[in-house]
Amino acid sequence: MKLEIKNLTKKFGDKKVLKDLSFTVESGKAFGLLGRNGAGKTTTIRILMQVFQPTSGKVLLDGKPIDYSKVSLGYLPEERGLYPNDKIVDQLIYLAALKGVDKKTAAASIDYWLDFLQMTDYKNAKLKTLSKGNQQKIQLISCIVHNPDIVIFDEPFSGLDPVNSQLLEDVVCEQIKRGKIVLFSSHQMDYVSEFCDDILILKEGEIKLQGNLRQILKNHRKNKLLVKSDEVEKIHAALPEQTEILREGELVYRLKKDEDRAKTMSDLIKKYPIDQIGDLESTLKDIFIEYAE
Amino acid sequence: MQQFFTVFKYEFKKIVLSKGYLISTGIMAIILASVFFLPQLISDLKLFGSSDNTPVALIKTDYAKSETLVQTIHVALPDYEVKLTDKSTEEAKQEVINDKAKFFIEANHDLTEVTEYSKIGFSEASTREVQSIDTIVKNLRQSDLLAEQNLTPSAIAKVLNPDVKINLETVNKNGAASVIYTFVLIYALYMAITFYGSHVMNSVVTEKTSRAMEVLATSVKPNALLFGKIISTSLAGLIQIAAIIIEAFICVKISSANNPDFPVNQIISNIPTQILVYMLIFFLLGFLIYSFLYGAFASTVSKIDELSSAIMPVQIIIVFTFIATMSAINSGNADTPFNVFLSYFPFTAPMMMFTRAIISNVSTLEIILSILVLIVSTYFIGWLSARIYRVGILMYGEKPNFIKLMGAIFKKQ
Repeated sequence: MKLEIKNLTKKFGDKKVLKDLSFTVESGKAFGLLGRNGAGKTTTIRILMQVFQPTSGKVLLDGKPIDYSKVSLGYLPEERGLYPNDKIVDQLIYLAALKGVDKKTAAASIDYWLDFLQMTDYKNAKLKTLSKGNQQKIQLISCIVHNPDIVIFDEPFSGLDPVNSQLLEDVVCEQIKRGKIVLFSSHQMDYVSEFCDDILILKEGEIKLQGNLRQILKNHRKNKLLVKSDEVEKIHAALPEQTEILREGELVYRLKKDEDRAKTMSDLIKKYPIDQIGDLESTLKDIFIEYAE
Repeated sequence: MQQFFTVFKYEFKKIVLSKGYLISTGIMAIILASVFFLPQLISDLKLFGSSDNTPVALIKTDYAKSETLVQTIHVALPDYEVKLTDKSTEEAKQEVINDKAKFFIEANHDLTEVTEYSKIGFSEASTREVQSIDTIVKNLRQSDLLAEQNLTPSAIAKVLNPDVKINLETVNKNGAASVIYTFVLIYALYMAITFYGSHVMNSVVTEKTSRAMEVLATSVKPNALLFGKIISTSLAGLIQIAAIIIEAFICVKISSANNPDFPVNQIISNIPTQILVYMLIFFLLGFLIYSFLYGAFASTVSKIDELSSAIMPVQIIIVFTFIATMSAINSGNADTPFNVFLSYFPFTAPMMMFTRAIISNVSTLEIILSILVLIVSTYFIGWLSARIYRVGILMYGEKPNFIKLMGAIFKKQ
């Protein structure tokens, strides 16, 4: 399956909140929809979920306008919350039923995911009696209980401890492995780098950067080398203008404009006791700050 | 439609299994049963109790026909044991203080001076006793004075009981009892509309403030969510009202067999069936119209503490309607031009037309017309509320003012 967002524009009154947005996500891949708060991510998601109609543009699935009666979507919103006073199993069955899943299938799926997330003991508890992290897990189940074809995670890792984060990572990986179309929106760039093949950075409703993540990182390679050595002080003393100690055992070497990267690396290795030398790549965080700010 | 039924089923189950619903139904059932059976039960228990419970009236007098006085008082106050006493005034007063007697009457030889002694505020608290004794003493005195004029006993009786026949006839539709049950039914209608309207309001606010709406808005059409919620609540309300009506009729049946003169039986038996049918129709339409408003206004709230100010306009309308209706019943004239207008005005019609249907001579055609006006306006208010709701549920932050809200709902989404 291939989900295509084509030339999406959305106006609220006179305010244009999305400007000609286009991107494609394929089955079994995760797509990172990035941007600062208010950049237009949630509006994009809401158009995709049919909460809003776009002012112009299309949502296509395999080249045809998406037929929501045939494709199911799961959504984990950034602002979490379900029914605090209702029993967990009741509300999960209800939410699955709203997605057209019968009670028996929903019950089996709920049991599977409760077990997967180590929450079986809380099946009949009221939601409000659970800790915040556990409530998040229930919300996660509500997003995937109906086995959706397209899964949208909006800030899935916020507020989770490392153990729960690991469980959630497993769920995301499982969804990708099951061949779902995964749309991932987060400010935690480590997770985006870990899961997403393609990314898009939005600023004020406009695409600022888009493409394959590996390629983007490669294209944003800095003109710097990262040197790992036990004698970084000695190297820095010899080349004070061009180097900068990053931390103990690590040093950054700034290449001059016309300096040959390969030759410099080989010269340095010959001159100094170097354990490792390579390009100092930009992180996604650096790129995000550069484009989204 | 499938989503509507899913929401309907979930919300219906939630409300009828809620503690509030079960407890309120139980309490209403108990109160209703108490109205019928508690007085009977209390008097039955009295029968089994000792005669010590019978109140005693002590009478000290030099009046020549003291036996007649005692007997007459006993006839007027049959629940009292009336005794002549020759104790001193102080001793008799002591009996009252010690609860051995409920009251003590001291009368002089020609009944021109009578003093009644009781414990606390007897004269204010027991008007029945005071009035009875007052009348008896005055009648005996009159009779004595007439006897002094050498009139025959039959002439005296004729003077004291002139053969004037006074007929009382109530000219409104259902007689005097209707005023009592109109109050009860209107109050019940008001309570039911506000109780179930608040339920819809709280349900919307909980979904919004708990942020469950974020998921719901992307899973279900707002109309299915709003209508499923409101229609399930109205069904729960109808079931509760119907259950109470059925219980009332069962109570009347049982109670009539044991105690046919019990006034509550007569009042309830006097309620015409069509009035109960009107009650169900006006509850349904009144509830729907107000619930749509409650739901729509509640959807604009982001925090629970903004709720009371958001729904203030609805509260004002409903309280105004209640007061206007009560004034109409009190004045006994529900057909003033203003009241007639209110009985066709959508927000006030459920209560005002219902009141007029009971206490005034409104034709069936007028009632049907009011119901039709209500159906059309309920449809319109439902449509408008669905639009407000659709916009409101996704609005967070500062509560929008009316103009902004209207602008937003008529803007193409």
